[in-house]
Amino acid sequence: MSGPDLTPKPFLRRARKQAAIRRWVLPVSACALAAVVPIFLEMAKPADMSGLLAQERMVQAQSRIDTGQSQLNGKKAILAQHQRELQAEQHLTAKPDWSAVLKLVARQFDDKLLMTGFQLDDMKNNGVRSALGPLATDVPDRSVWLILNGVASANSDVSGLIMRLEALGLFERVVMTGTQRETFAGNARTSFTLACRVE
Amino acid sequence: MVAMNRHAVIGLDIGRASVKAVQVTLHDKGPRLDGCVQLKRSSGGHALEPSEAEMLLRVMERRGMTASQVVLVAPTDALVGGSMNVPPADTGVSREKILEMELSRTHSLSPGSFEMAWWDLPAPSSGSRIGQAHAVGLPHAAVEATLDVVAEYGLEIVRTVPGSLALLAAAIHHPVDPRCIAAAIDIGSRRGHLVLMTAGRVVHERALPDFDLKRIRDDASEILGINADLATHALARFGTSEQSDCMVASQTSSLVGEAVHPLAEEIGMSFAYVSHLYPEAELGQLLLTGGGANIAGLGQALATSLELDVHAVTPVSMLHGSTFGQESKDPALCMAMGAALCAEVGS
Repeated sequence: MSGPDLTPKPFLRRARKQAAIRRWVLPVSACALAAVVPIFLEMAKPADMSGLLAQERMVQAQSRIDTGQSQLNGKKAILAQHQRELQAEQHLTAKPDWSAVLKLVARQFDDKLLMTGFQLDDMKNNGVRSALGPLATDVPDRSVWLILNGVASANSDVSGLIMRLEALGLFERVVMTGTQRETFAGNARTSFTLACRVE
Repeated sequence: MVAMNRHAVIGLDIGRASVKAVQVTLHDKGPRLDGCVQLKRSSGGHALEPSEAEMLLRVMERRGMTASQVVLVAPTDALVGGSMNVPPADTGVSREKILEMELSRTHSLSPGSFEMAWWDLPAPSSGSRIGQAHAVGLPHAAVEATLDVVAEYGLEIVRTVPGSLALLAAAIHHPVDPRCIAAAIDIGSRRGHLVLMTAGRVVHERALPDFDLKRIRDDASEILGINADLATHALARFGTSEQSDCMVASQTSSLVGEAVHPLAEEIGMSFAYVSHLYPEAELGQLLLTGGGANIAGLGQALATSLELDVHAVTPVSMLHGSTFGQESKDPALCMAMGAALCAEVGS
C-alpha cells in the first residue's frame, strides 16, 4: 500500500513492536512447554509398570470426562440462546405494531399542519389525564389514548385532520381537547391538542 | 487457474457529529462495496472514545464488515499546510526536508512532532523552473488517541490519509474528467472543506468555516420548534424548495438560501484561482459530499449560481449500482468510501 501516509511514526513503531511480540509469544511458549514437560514427566515417573498403566487409564478417563463436560456446556449455551430468542419473540409478538399506527397518523398531517409532539399512554398517567381535561372523568383507567400536539394554519385544517383520523377507523373517539392562537415562525397560527382513544 | 487478488479494507471517517465506516473489497476487476455504517457520536471531540469504538465494531460485525485493515481519514481541522514553492526535482536537494522545515517554521511545530504528506503539483503552462508542491502536516497529538483506541480493538491502521486525498479517490471513481478542473466539497456538521483537482492531483484546498451546517440546523430547529433530527429531516425534504403554502418549506428555503450565496462566492473564487494557474484546463464538475449534500435543492442552487455541473456523490454513485442499504446512498459516507479506495489508488 503506497502513497502519502500521515500515521505517526512513533505509533507505527509501537504497533510493529506489539505485533512482533504477539508473533513470538506463542512459538516461544510452545517451545518452553515442550522442553519443560518431558522433565516433569521423567520426575513423576512411577516405580512399577502397573502403577503407570493405572495412571494412564486415569488420565484417559479424566480426558473423557472433560470432553463430555465441554460438550454439555456447549449444548447448555445453545439451549440458553434458543430460550432467549423464544422469550424475545413472545415479547415482540404480544405487542401491537405502534410504528404502523404512527405512520398512518403522520400521513394525515398535510403541508398546512405540523405535528410538534405525541404521547401514548393509559389513563393512569397524569399527563394524559391533564391533556384530556374534563373528558377524563367518564373514561375507565385502562383505556389507552394517543395525544397529538400540533400547529395548523387555520382552524379548518384541524377539523379536516380530525375527520381524516376518524375515517382511519383506528380510534374509538377523536376529540379536540385544546386549541389556542400563537405566533409560530413569525406568523399567527393555531396550536391544538387532539386525544384519540385506542381501546 | 488465475488467482483472484482480494483485499478487504475499511475506510474510517471520524467527524464531529458522526463516525462513518465503509468496507470495500478490492478485486482485480474493481472495488466492491461490502457494507457501511454511520453512527451518531456521543462525545463530538477529535478523538474516538472507547465506548464509540466498541459500539462501532459491534454494528460493523453485525453487518458482516469483518475486515481488520483500516484506512483512517485524518481530522481535517487539525491539518496544516498548503501549496509551496520547491526547487525542481533534478537539483538533487531533498525537497521533502525543505517542505518539512517550512511547515515546521510556519506553523510553529517542533520537528518530529508531526507527519507530512506531499505531492508535486502539475507544471503550469507558463513553464516556470520553480516547482510547486502541495504539503499537509498532521500533528501527532491530533490523532494518536484515536489510533490507540482503534488498535486496542484489534484493528490495524494501514494508512492515515488527508481528507483531500479521500475526496480525490472518490472523485476518480465518480468519475471526473482528469483534464478538467473539478472540485469536491465536503459539507460537514461544523464547516465545509473544498478541494480542487486537475490531472489526477489535488492542487488546492481550503476550509469553508462560514458554511456551518450545525448552525443552519439549530436555527431551523429553533424557528420551527422541532428537535435537531426533525430539523435535519426537514432540510433534506424541503431545503431550498419554494412551496408557498408549506410552512416548513418557506422557513428552510430562507435559511438555506442565506447560506448558499456566500458559499457559491467562496467556491467561485477558488475555481478562479486554480483556473488562473492552469488556464489550459476547462472547468469541470463540482461534487457535493458530506451530510450537507443531503439538503434538497442545494446542488441545483449552486449549479445555477456557479453555472457548473453539480452532482452529489454517494458510495452507490461511485461503484455504479452496488447498493447496500439506504446508507450507501448517503453522501455523508463519501469521505470514508474515498479513504477505503485510497488503499487501491495509492498515491
